[in-house]
Amino acid sequence: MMKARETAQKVRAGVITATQAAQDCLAQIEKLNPQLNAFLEIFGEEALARAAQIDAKPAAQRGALAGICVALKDNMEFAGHTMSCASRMLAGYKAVYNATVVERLLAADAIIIGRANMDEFAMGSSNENSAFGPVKNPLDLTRVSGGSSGGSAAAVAAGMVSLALGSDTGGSIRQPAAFCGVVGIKPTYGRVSRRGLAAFASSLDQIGPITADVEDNILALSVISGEDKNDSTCAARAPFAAENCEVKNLTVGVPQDFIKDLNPAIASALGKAKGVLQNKGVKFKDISLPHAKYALPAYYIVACSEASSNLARFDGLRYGHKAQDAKDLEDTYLKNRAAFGPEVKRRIMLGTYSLGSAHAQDYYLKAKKVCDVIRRDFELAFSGVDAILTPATPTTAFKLNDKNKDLLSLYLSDLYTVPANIAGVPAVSAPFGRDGDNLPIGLQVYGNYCEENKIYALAAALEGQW
Amino acid sequence: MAITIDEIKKTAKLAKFEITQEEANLYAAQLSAVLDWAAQLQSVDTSATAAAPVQNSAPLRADKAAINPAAPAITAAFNDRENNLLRVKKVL
Repeated sequence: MMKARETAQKVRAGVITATQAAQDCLAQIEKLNPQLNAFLEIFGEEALARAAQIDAKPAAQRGALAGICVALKDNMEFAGHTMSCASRMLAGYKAVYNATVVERLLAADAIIIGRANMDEFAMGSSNENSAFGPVKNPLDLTRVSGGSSGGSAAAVAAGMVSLALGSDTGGSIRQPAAFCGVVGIKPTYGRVSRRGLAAFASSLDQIGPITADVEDNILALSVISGEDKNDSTCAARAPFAAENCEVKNLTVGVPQDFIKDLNPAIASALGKAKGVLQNKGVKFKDISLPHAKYALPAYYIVACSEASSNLARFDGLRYGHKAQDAKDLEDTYLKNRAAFGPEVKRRIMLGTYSLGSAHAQDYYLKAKKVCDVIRRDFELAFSGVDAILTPATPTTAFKLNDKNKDLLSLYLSDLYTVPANIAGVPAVSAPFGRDGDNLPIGLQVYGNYCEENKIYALAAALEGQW
Repeated sequence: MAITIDEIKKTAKLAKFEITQEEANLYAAQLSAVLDWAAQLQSVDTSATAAAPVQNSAPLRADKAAINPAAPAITAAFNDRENNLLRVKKVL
């Protein structure tokens, strides 16, 4: 499939039409989606109508993303369209306004082509928690796509679209990007507005793009980032501006204490990547992130606590699933909320327990303090290095329905990604090599606050070098 | 086990979930495993966190009240509406 930037350039230059670009995407989706289940809904006719509108504009007025078809994770509001969060809890709900990221995509003449499948309410690392079936990995249909933005990553990896948006609360963009062999970034917390994103854990959630390569990712982040008075956390953030960054001037830290006991294939890829970057003049330094190993348990307590509060609003009274046989108000709540799937219920239960007056001191408040300690680790580390290199995931894509995966081992999928959400710093996952089963290995580059340009430059320096 | 069946039932009530005895048993085992794992957080020295607030956290806008332009569309989407009000089951 053509890169996103090439599509936009050609549509702007009149070499191809947006209609042709949309037709190509729709043909690929029609061919592959029945086996992959990456999309929950395709907006085919609407996409073609919008493409025709873009084609009707004078070439000079076509936007930065002209004719690029975008897969939108099903937890972002697109006015007039179903938004289900891959849950039966939101049955019948149609978005009543556009998320800020949707407004920005549309203003740049992108075409939103469909709703991408996901783990229910973004809770999961395999996309097996969707109420509408799992997403299969395009590179091996017996394996998971990763999650929770599994549909978004699979859609890009399969060449159905060249750009997808995902959301990342603990690795939900970077982990599926790694499993599917594509590029995904969790930008700095506050870089991209979350208005119109169904909240999971508000102190950690961030929207970001998934693309086939780094340059497309830069283009997409340039469009969707920036100040939004409707999201207090990105009210004072300047938009991301792509700047050329020489990797030979950068120093990269490797936190050996955090990434010990690596899977051999992933350890080998990491070593090779280090060599590639050294050959390009990057300096390396061993660093320590002594508390990063606590990020995952702290994350599960904090994220579930916030989720129990955020998802309390889903009671079926105002919108979404509504049971018909409830006797009174209490019974209405109980019957309506039965529509949540098992993982969502489990996390709400964990969060409710962790926030309870008898336990908050030991769990929620302690976890929040540990998050502060982890942030300090990163601040100290970034006083001596420009970026930090780690694997994106502890393993490559695992098998669907892997009964050997208990709850905790599934949670460990996010081991290397969660610290970026805790610290609020940006991190990009990019493919680098294959394992013995020919599955993609993802490496991850962490950056300091608002220094996406540096991590993009390092990820770009690794592209195609394995 | 960190969490008892009775605590699970109480938590489910607070979270507005109706659960069976079988689910209560399952949740007790699963949540206990997660909480036992999370107990490692107790070993982290957090005594300095209250004294020195973290810098570099996302800057926030001023907390000012504003009219949400989407409000009419949101209320129009209510499941059960009468005039401009949300109809619910009787509370008492």
